[in-house]
Amino acid sequence: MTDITALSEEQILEKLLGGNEIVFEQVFNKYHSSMQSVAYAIAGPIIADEVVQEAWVSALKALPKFEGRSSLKSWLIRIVANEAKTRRRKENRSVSLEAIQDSWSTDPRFSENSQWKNPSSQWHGDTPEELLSAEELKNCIEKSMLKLPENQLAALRLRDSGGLSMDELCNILEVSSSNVRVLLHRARDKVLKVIDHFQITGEC
Amino acid sequence: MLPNCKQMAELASKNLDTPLTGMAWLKRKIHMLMCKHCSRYSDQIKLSSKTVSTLDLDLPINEDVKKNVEKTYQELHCRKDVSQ
Ligand SMILES: [Zn+2]
Repeated sequence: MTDITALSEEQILEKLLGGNEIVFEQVFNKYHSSMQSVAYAIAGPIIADEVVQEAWVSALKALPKFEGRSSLKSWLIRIVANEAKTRRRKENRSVSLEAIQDSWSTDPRFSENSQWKNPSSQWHGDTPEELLSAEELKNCIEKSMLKLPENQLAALRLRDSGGLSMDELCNILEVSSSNVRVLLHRARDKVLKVIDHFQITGEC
Repeated sequence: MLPNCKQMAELASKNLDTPLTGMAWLKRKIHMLMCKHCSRYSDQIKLSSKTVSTLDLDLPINEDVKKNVEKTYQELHCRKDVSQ
């Protein structure tokens, strides 16, 4: 049986265009949840499934035109993000993605003169694989990501998971570039805190 | 003036997306040489970002969506002249 992890993106594409349903199912399973979390963050949980379905259909139609200038994953994320943005506008979702809920100004890790008061600890491991060898940490991070404000989650997924450019993030999230930077920093900082806490206590 | 530690934390993330250049780069570099906390934070924010990129959120797959998408795939890309 074909296993897509052993194939290059070109080979995967060739099989997809050749109507290989087994390969398609694996591609679906591999990328669906990334796409879902983007739709979820940008368009909201209620219509997320619909948005992802629409995005898959658009992607399948456009597949013969896919030129491999970005990875398949980035390409799919871009499609779902734009679909989600369009839907968000149509539904007139009142929650602004520009809003930044922030406790950064009073973050207890820093002293009043903005020096470190409680810096992070030394971690055991300096690759994702080493860190995630603790299965529990993986769950902790995933849980904490789902608790992020939706604009932070969206920024994080688009950038760190989808590899989209900063300009694309501004465009999709409809926020200024300085706010995109703030969203990304707060989201990554949250993940950092979860990892740090786990390194110290072994718990979420 | 060098950035303070709190500004350095934000710069660590910014630098991942748009690498600093010139004086801004130099000031950050000098601060990091003097401050092991910021140097560590900078490594850790990079590692956090990398780790996130390897993770997929475990959202449940909606089986109806999957069926519909598979049906679309068959219609668009599976040739009907091939005998099954
Ligand atoms: Zn410092």
